[in-house]
Amino acid sequence: MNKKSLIQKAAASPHIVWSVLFIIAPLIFVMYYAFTDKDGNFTFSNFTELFQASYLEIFMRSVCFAFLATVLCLIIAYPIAYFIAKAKPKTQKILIMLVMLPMWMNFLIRTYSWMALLEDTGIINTFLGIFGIGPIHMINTAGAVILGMVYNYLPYMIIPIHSVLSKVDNRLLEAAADLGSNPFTVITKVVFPLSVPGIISGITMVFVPSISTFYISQKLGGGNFDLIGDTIERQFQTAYNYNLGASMSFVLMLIIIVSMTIMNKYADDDGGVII
Amino acid sequence: MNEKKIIELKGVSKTFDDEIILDNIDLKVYEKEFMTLLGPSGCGKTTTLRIIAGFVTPDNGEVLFDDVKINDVPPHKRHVNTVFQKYALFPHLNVYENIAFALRLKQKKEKLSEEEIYERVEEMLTMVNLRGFEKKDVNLLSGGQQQRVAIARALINKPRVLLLDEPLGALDLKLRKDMQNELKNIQRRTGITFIYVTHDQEEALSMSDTVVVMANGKIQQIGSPTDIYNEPENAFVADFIGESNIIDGVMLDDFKVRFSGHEFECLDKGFGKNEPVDVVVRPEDVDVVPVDKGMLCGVVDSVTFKGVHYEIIVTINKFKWMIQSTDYVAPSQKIGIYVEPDAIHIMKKSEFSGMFGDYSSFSDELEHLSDVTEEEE
Repeated sequence: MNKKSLIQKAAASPHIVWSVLFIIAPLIFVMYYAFTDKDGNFTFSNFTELFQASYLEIFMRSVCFAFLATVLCLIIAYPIAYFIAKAKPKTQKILIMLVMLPMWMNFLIRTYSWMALLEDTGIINTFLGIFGIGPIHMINTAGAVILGMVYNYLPYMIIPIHSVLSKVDNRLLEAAADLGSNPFTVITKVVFPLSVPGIISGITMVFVPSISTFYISQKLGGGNFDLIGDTIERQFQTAYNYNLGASMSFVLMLIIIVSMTIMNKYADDDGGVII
Repeated sequence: MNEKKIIELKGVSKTFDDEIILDNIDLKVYEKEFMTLLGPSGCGKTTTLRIIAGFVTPDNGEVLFDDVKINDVPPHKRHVNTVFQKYALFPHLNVYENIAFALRLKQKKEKLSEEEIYERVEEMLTMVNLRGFEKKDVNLLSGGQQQRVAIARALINKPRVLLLDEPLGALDLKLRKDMQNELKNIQRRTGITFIYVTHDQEEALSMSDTVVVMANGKIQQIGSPTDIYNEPENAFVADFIGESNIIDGVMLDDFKVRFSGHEFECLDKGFGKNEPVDVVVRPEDVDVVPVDKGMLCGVVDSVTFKGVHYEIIVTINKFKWMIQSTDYVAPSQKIGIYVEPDAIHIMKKSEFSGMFGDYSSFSDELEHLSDVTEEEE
């Protein structure tokens, strides 16, 4: 027994090493920088600095954009996931691969492609120009930034929802119809409540990267829509203010933890309605 | 039994992937009837049930409800409810909400108050002996309890017809017997027509008013349990329902049949002269007698004690008979057998003739095969 547990410990060791090196150690660094000044003395000044109107605005904007992107992803992804889950197993595999296909390409390249599409002289406007429409100003707008988020994170919403929906027992749908549900109430009363766990993980997987993203807002927003991610990046890359950057990261983590906790609570209370 | 017809199938056929599942089925179901569709896996009994429920559309033929064609009426608009195999309870709802499901759907339209729903759910819970289980999670209930919830859920809407798809298949023997009685009581009390699907012949015989024996997508026989047992129409029915010795015979004349090299008196008539027939003799109707008094005699192959009786396999003219007797005989002993005229049942030759021979290959393994619990499709 003792020997076996030793082997088990040994088997777990790579994971422990990984966690310590790449999760716990960086977190400690973040904490250290967040609560110290440039000379390494303990201080709260990094946090009080964040209460400036300009930073608060950035935090607010980040939360709003991430929230909008998540809601849009959910609205778009649910019918797609449902449609895929209804397909034959073979077709399902192909469709899921198509959903993931863009993720095989580099994130930067995909974002650049959207720039080429959305620019005033870009592909979409050139095309519309043939019919005498436009040019419509799309790049460097808030819409473009949210579009970038929705586009990039949509697969993270589709896949967990699909995986839950594809496991819903067809007999339950028949039972609901048998008891008087029309095709619409079958979805609202049975399919949707049963897919809540997938929706929760989808929301988590979209909201977290959306709120912490940078680069999308820089490229598609033209620098007009600074998000927390961009601001943090600037502290580290250009301003070299590690302490302020770390405190922002710390607050961002808090926002994520709080919002996820609230959402999970909603899901636990009554498996039904989240939004 | 009330003679008012409620459901009728006329010439119903169904093919899945080039395989004929149902072949020209005609069936009439009457009000307040307890009808059982009985047959082995793949005989089409579940498909018949699903056609009545509306989950399967027949390729040909008509489904009539109160003489109105309902082929294209979706399940949610039919006046039937189903108790599903393995229950299909909603895992996200508790016992109360599972049972109230059908009422919640029409709560707004019919302006049902919470009190009315509460009363109806409680009434159902009382009927299935589950009071006090309202708040329980259905995933934590035992099989028998889930079964009861499924029955209550299907009955709350007061359907004209309740369809039950092997509802007791997942329960252990003792519980199954109890539930059989309970279902029969519920059916009597509510007066709802039950259409019950099972592969268990004993269940079919003990619960039903009418048994429909199915095989190969066709109805082999419709009749009361006693008719089905005593007057099987062909070798399949005789073999599937209970134990039987099915012997090749020749009908010499009315009331006279010859088999195993001996001429027997019987009660059947109306066959052609010297018409080849299948003869059924039930094992419990064969009397063991001393050799000199026997109509036929043979050597005992094996004797198995079954509790109520001994099961004796005896070879007579190369045919292995099964005999059930309360008297012990020793293996290798020579015995005579005696068969009363009313114990002999004559059947016309059918596609099943010769498929169910004697008991030479009979073993516990085969006995086990005859009550498989595997699902259809």
